[in-house]
Amino acid sequence: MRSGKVGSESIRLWSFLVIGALLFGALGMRLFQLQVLQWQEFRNKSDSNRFRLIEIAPPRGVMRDHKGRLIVTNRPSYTCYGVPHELWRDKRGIALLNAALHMPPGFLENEVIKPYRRTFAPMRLKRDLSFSELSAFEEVRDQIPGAFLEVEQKRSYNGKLAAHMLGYVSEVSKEELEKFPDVLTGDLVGKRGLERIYDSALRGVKGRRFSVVNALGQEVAEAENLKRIDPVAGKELWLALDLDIQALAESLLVDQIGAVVAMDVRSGGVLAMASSPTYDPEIFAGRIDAAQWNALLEDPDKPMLNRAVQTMYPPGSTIKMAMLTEGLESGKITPTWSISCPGHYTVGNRTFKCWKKGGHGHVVPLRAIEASCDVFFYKLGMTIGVDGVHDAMARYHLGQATGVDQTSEAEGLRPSEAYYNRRYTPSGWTRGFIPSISIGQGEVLVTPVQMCAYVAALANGKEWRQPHLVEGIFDPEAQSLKRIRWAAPQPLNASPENIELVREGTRRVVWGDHGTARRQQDDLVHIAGKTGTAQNPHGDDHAWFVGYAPYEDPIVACCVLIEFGEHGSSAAAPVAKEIMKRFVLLEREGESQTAEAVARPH
Amino acid sequence: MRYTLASLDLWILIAVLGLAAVGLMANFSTSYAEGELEFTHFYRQLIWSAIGLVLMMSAITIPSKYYQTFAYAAYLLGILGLIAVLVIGQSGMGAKRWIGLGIFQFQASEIAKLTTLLGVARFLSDFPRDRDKIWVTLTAVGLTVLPMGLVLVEPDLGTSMVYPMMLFCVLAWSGAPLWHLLLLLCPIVAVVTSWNTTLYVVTLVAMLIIIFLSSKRFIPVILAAGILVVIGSATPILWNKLHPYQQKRLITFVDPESDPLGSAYQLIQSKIAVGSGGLTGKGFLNGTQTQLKFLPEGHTDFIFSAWGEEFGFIGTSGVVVLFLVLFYRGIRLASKCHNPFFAITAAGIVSMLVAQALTNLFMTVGLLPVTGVPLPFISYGGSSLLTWMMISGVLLGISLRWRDY
Repeated sequence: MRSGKVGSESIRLWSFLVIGALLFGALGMRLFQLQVLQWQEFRNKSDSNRFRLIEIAPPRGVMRDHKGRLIVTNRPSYTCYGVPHELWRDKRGIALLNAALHMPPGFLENEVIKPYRRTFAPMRLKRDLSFSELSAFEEVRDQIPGAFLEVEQKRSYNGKLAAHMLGYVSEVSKEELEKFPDVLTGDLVGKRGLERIYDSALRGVKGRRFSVVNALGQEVAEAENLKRIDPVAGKELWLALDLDIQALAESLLVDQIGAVVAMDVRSGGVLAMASSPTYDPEIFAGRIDAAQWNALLEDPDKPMLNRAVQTMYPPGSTIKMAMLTEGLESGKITPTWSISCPGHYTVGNRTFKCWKKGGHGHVVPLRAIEASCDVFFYKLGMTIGVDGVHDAMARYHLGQATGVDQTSEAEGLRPSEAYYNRRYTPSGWTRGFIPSISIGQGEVLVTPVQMCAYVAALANGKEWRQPHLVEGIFDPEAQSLKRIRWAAPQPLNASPENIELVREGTRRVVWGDHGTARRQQDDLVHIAGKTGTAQNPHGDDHAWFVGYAPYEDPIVACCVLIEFGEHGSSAAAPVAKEIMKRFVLLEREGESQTAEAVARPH
Repeated sequence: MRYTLASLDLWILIAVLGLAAVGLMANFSTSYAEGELEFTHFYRQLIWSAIGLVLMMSAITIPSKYYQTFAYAAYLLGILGLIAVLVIGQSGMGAKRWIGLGIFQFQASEIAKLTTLLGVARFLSDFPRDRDKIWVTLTAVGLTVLPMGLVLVEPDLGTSMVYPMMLFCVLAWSGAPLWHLLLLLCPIVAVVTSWNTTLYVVTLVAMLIIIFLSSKRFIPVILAAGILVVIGSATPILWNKLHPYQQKRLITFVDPESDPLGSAYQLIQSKIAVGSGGLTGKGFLNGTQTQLKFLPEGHTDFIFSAWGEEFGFIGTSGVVVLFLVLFYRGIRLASKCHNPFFAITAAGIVSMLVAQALTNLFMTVGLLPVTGVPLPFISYGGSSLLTWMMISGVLLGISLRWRDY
């Protein structure tokens, strides 16, 4: 019995030992497999856990005016990031964060995090935190381990200055992602204006580095042994713009609807381009909320519209210099060609009025411009025909896009006989269309920038220059400037005598006894120009003034359009005079300073 | 009679102290990872280790006979403790496990492991001639199921799983007939095999034949057949009555890979930590998985992964060897004891220790589902460490006195 007992006991002992040994053996083999055989595989996995490729955003190129002053820069802003998986575990933390970031109740939890709750990669929760959001976040950050801040560069504009022309940047859209190869979701790209047109130059080239992150995706250190590629800063835009003139133009447009374009006659560079009402481009660089966006879109005054290039108006009487140039150049009239203005003119069964009820009496070309006699131009139009009016506009590139570096430029309208036949089937073209378009009403449409280039061409007397905002692109890394080759000047193909006659007419608009802009006489800077009134079937007429200064040796041209301004002489001309005068005086000041500097002995 | 230090089983002593030292180092590392400049949880573990040493020495000093004398009283105290937890316990992580004891809180389910073992061992040793009687085995089962049920409703699934494993080993060691053991296995076998009809039938037949050969009677066979048929056919029915989300939870428990971002996340990160440690490890405090907190629960359930990452295969096999030493020396001691109470207690201690350690270790290397069982001596936690030190003291006490009884 005793031995049997011993036997069963030893079986028991051995089965314990054998089972134990098997279990420990299995564990040992498993450890050998993981740590010795598959070591490399797991080491790679642990490396990819902790190393993260971080893109380094290059600073976006700044923009400067023609004196080198900064118009658009970048400033640091705080963006709140979060790891959705981590945040999702603590709903109370989400609520705290939601309140700190000033979001609508439940927005963060349901709209932002919930769809990504299984994601470990950090995602952007809110850009450009305000100071109060930042301090509210700092207060609760200990209780929200899944959220952290990152500094990012934000586009900084000079308030609303030149908003339309500069454009803005905003998060890339799905369509744009397909168009630009090296842009990723969440990147900011230019959407309008210069930001859009020169986006690729401004953007720069992203750099990259590897960083060591913890399980929350928070950066712990930079990985030392992996190569860092520095970003290439975006290129600078050097503009023809003059900050002072731009600011002045905008201040003169306050509370009005309209546009101003001022150009340097010598180069075609745009000194100022303003449109009113305006908006703050900075709101787009952050997270724009739907209410702000809708308010902008639904505003009946359309603040997003750049009226200087995107809106078409009939030129009114400002077309008359083009008409006269064409009449003289075609040889159909001479400088002494004269008409009699009784205050109205009849074609077929239609009567067209002159703006002056009693009529102008005997009118020669010079007088026609000075006093803006409509009957003279009705008759001139009938003389040169509809295609003559077309050619008159074509000579000065009116009714066609100028190619200025702006987005969505409107073309305008320059009718020909073929156009009327197409448009008014079946009756087609009749001579009754001519009088209206001869004085710039009806189916002739231009943009303010076209008008400015037109009057600038008249000012220099020889050629039409393409208006443009950017003179050159400066590479801050290479310290080199690449000038942009704008279209070569287009000759006006007009004799100096004829041009001189037209120019004299514009001088008399201001300085003559019957001039429509006599109130703009200024002894310091002599300006010349032409008023205009665009008939507006929807309300009060729009007021135009196009002009240049100084008359003797023009350096600046300016076009002003005031919607519902009624009279060019009262609404638009004073604005244009202020702008041109300021620029001429600033130029003279600069010249005298340079002269002094040269004269002063060192 | 005088005892000297040399009379102790020094292998066991060295293994216990070695494991506690590994625990301190590993806790230093995970404390460092938490970014605690004061090393809060490392210092706590250090203090507990010191208290644990005192407890262990006290447990050695107390004459082993007293454990036998007061076994039932200890068992009752353990049960009362578990009930107290349910009535006045403090919640943590959605489960009631703690009793406030002034300065620190104590997890009653930890100490109940020892008191239950003492009670069961005492009961089995009180009826040496009736080992082959089914009522003895069933009473032992009852004595174990009571505290296990109380732990389960806390709820603490991981700790409760240690009880049946301990019971099974204790019964086996105490000389229960094979068919008793097989009968106990019947419910588990039925649940596991009921998914496959062929497997179920084959297993059922095999079990019944072995039970018959072992017992030479028909009643146990009928009993076993009853259990197998009832549970085996009830399982699929119960399964279909579960809500889909409950089914999903059970599936991810058995197969965590089916939920890679949930329960498998811990498992994947744990395997990466252990595997990336390689042969020699990444070095103390240099484990990227641990220090950058990719490893969840790095200081409690997955502390072995943290250790494995920083000390590699050499470090992990060191720990495995220490447990193996405890296992071998403990079983050897149990087999030498003439007194059945000491033999059963020693075997029970070793089984409990090895069962819990292997459950944790197999979990960290991805061979078992994630259950939340701490690694004895090494995982952070005062109750666990103090209990294991005390249990080791009892084992060492027996190693000192086994010749005397």
